[in-house]
Parts: sequence; structure tokens; C-alpha cells
Amino acid sequence: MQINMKKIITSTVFLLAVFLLAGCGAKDTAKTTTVPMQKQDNKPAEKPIANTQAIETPAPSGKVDDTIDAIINSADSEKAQAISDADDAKSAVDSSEESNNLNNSYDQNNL
Amino acid sequence: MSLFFVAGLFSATNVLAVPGNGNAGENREAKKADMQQKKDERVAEKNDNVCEKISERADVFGQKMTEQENNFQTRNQEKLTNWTIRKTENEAKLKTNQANSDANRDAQFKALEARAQTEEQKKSVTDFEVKVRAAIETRRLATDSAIKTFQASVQTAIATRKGQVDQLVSSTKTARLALLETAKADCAVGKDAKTVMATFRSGMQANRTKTQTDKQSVEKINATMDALIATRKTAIEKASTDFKATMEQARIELKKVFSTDSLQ
Repeated sequence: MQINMKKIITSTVFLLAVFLLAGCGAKDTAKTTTVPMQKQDNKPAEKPIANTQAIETPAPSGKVDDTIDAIINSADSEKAQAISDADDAKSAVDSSEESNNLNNSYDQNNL
Repeated sequence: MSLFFVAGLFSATNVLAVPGNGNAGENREAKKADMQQKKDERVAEKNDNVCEKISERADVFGQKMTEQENNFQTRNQEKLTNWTIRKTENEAKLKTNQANSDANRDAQFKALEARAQTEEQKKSVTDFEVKVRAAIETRRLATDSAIKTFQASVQTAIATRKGQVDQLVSSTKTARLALLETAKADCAVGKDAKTVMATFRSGMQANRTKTQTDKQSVEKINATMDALIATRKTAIEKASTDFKATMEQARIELKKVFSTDSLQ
């Protein structure tokens, strides 16, 4: 009888140990799966795209105010598009990087 | 006996001392000459090392400057290409935007036409449409003109900058190579390495200062670009403001005709 009790206790402890180990293993798996997700978060931010989409206007109602507001909104959208290349134009003529490189191109301590 | 011994010792010392004194003087002179010769050899060796180094570096430096010139050309071409692409994209997007606006406006007009019941209302809607089309045309012409002027100015600015940067690179390269050639020539005629290096370094420093000043002059183009951007923006803003004023006037006129209409 005592031997049976011992066997039961031993097998219970063994099962508990197996269960706990399996739990730890599952935690480890969870840890490893989070790593790539974090890596995904570190992706470089995409370059913001200029506001080139036409402003969504509500369906025509036939109301005077809605009609004129929709036309004005469209005009604003065209205006935003027309001036959206300012930064590109600036960078096209900016030579500060090159001229900085030029002045740093030669280290007199090399001699 | 002792007197004889002292006298003998004295004469022996004299006999030994006379030739001994002459040898020490000669030895000192020889040692001095030897040291001087070694010093001269060390200086000559150092000069040779410096001159050799200058010669090697001159070649490397020439290659470096040529590489940099090529990089400038490539970078300049890239910027020009990027700007051309961006400009074309922007023009295409603006056209698409205008087409969307036109489609939206026509839909708005149709809805308004559908609401016009009386002859007066129908006529005012027709007048309104004519007025809006004309105002849009005026605004777009002004915007296009501002864009074209801006693009032509950017193209000129790019060409100006290219000329200035080419000149800056070329003059810097010429001046620096000349400094190295002078150093090489000075070395060849046996000038002291320290003097050669000091002349070279001070020349380089002066060149760097000049390049810095010339660079600031080239970078003035950034202020020119800011002015061009502001001018275009002002012109487009004005076209937009004028257009909105016309629209607000049209709103007042239309509302008078549709005043009894609950859908005003």
C-alpha cells in the first residue's frame, strides 16, 4: 500500500515537473516569436508622400453652399499639389554636402 | 734619490703628455666631424623621407581629387535627374487633380441645375457656371504661369550651381596640386624638410580658407531658391485668393435667387 502511494506521489511530482517544464518551454517560444516582431517595428519609416490626392468631396447635393464649398475645396487641392515640389527643387540645387566633402577631402596630417 | 725619482717622473709625464694632448684634440675634432656627418646624414635621410612621402602623396592626392570631381559630376547629374522626374510627376499629378476637380465640378453643376425651377434660377445657374469656368481658367493660367517661371528659374539655378561648383572644385584642385608640386620642387633642390612642410601646410591652410569662402558664395543659391519658392507660392496664393473671392461673390448672387428655396 505504501509502495503504491509512493508510486502515485512520484508520478504526480514527475507529471508536475513535466508540466512546469513544458510551460517554461512555451514561454521561451513566446519570447523567440516576439523578436522578429520587434525587428519588424524597426523598419525605416517610409518617406512621407506629398498630399497629391484630390480632396474627397461629398456627393453633390444641389445646395448652393455645398456646391461652392466643393469647388473651393477642389481649388485648394490643386494649389497644394502645385507647390508640393518645393523641397525637391531646393535639394536639386543644394551643394553643401559636396562642398563640405571638398574641404574635408585632404587631410594635411597625411603628410 | 728621491729628487731624481721626482724629476724622472716629471719628465716621463711630459714625454707622455705632449703627444697625448695632441691626440685628444684631434680625437675631439674627428668626433665632432663624425657627429656632424651623422647629423647631416640624418637630416638628409629625413629630407629624403619627407620628399618621397610628398611625391607619393601628390599622386594619391591627384587621384583623390579626380575621384571627387567625378563624384561631383555624378551627384549633380543625379540631382538633375531626380528633379526632372519629380517635376514630371508633379505635373502629371496636377493634371489628374484638375481632371478630378472638373469631374466633381460638373457633377455639382448638374445637381444645381436639377434644383433650378424658375427661369430666373435656371439663368442664374447658367451664369454661375460660366463665371466659375472662367474663374477656374484664370486661376489655372496664373498657377501654370507661376509654375513655368519657377521651373525655368530652378533649371537656371541648377546650371549656375553646376558652373560654380565645377569652378570651385577645379580651382581647389589646381591650387592644391600646385602646392604639392612646389613642395616636390623644393625637396628636389635640397631645401630643409621642415621648411618645405611648413610652406606646404600654410599654403594648404590658406587654400582651405579660400575654399570655405568660395563655398559660402556657392551656397547663396539656397537663399535664391527660397526666394523663388516664395515667389511662386505668393503667385499661386493670389490666384487662389482671387478665385475664392469670385466664388464668394457667386455664392451671394446665387443665394439671392434661391433665397426662397429651403435647400439654399
